[in-house]
Amino acid sequence: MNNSAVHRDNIEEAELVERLKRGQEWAFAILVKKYRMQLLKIAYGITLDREESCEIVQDVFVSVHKNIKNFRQEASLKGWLRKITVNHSLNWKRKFKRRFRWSHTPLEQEDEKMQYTVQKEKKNPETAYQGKEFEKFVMGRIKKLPEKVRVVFVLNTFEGLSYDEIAQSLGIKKGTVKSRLHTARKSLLESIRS
Amino acid sequence: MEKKCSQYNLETISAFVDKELGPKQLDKFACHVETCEACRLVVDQLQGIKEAFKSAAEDEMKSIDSQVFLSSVTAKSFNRKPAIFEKLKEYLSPKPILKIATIAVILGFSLMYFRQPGINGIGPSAIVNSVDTNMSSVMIIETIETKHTIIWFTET
Amino acid sequence: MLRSANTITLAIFFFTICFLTQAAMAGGNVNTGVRVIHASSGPQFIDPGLRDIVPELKSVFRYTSYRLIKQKSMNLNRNQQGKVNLPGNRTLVVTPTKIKGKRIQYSININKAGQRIFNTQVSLKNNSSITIGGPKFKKGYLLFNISGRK
Ligand SMILES: [Zn+2]
Repeated sequence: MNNSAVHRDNIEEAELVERLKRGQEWAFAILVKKYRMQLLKIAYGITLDREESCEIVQDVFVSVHKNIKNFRQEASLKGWLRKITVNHSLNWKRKFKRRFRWSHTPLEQEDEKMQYTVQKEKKNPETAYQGKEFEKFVMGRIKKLPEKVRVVFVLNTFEGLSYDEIAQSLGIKKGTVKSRLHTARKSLLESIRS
Repeated sequence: MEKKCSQYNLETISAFVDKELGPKQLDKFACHVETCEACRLVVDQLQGIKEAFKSAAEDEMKSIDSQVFLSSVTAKSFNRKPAIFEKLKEYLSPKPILKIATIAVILGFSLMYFRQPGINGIGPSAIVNSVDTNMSSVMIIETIETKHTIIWFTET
Repeated sequence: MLRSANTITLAIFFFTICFLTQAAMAGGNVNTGVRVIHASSGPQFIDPGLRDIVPELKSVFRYTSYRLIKQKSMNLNRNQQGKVNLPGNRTLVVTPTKIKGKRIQYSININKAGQRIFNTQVSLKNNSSITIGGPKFKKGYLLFNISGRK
């Protein structure tokens, strides 16, 4: 019993796709289990919104279920899922709502900055760039990055993609990837230094 | 305030962190960073930012119940009515009396559903015919799931 | 004989009551509910009286605390004003103006210090509600959830 469960989890991607194409529900469950967290993080990195990320990734799986017949075996399933997630996260229809929601978040940045500065002074340099306060502070700054910059930063940070892979996945030039990453880092570094 | 390196700029340090340096450049920079405090600080900061972003996303997404997620997405994909009990689990308190109350609410809603075929039908909860105000901005939005209408005005 | 006459009287009485109630309903008596909500970023809190609407609001707003600060249920005739006093010298006035099919038309006003600062005309789905928000209040905002049932 247990063995077969392990076996099921380990079935090859090709097999999984085949079973998905046949509309088998348990194959779908495996797909969701396997990629849910990874896709949620991508969506969250772009939208910075918990509920919306959840909604987006659900939509991604629904659309995978619908369109799996068009999936070409030679492409990577992971890459395909990633692409759909990025597209859904950038969807303009959702953005309107998100922006509205953001405008209803009080600006706590100044408080966070103070907390973080205090912490920085107390701690030694090795631990200054760790911990929840630092995390909160960084997130506040990441929110201020332009979305197209953030997408590149997300694929770099969460997915560990190379510059070439990011360029290919977003359909932009490698130079653009470099410059957007540079923009992101420069502004984040400036904010933690000042 | 902080020391600056005279040899390497942020591009190179970035490329180092991203493992995008060629073998020659990598060797050179790896040696340099051993002795250059300024570069080491930037590497630390960049790694710290990476980790912070990852961990914040991870924490936030961990709170999404995987079972609820799976049953909801399966229901949507395989065209089944969403498992309402699963969805409500989040709101359910472990206290049995509240469970009963929730079930009563669900029953109440299902009765209303049958009596009022229009209630869950498509269309917004309210059609806004006009808005008149001297406020600076008015926004009309609709929630995705149940199309609840919301009007937001900014008081100046 | 007497007994059956009694029964008939009772039946007539009963039907009259039913008819009157029906007529009153058809005449446009509208059950209007107003809930005044204070949404803020304070400690996580959802008022039990708001459980039906908060998931809805949460899909749009990012507040963590939703308090019900006032609730009023009114039985309004057509064109009869229903007034709810609000914090900050404001008044909310809801008036059902028309019933058309499955929708109730409302005129909704918000007055501040006697002056009208906001008006909207909406066609509310029967047994449904609309939320209006905007005024700042105690480190948060005031929202009004208005429901109607004919
Ligand atoms: Zn250096």
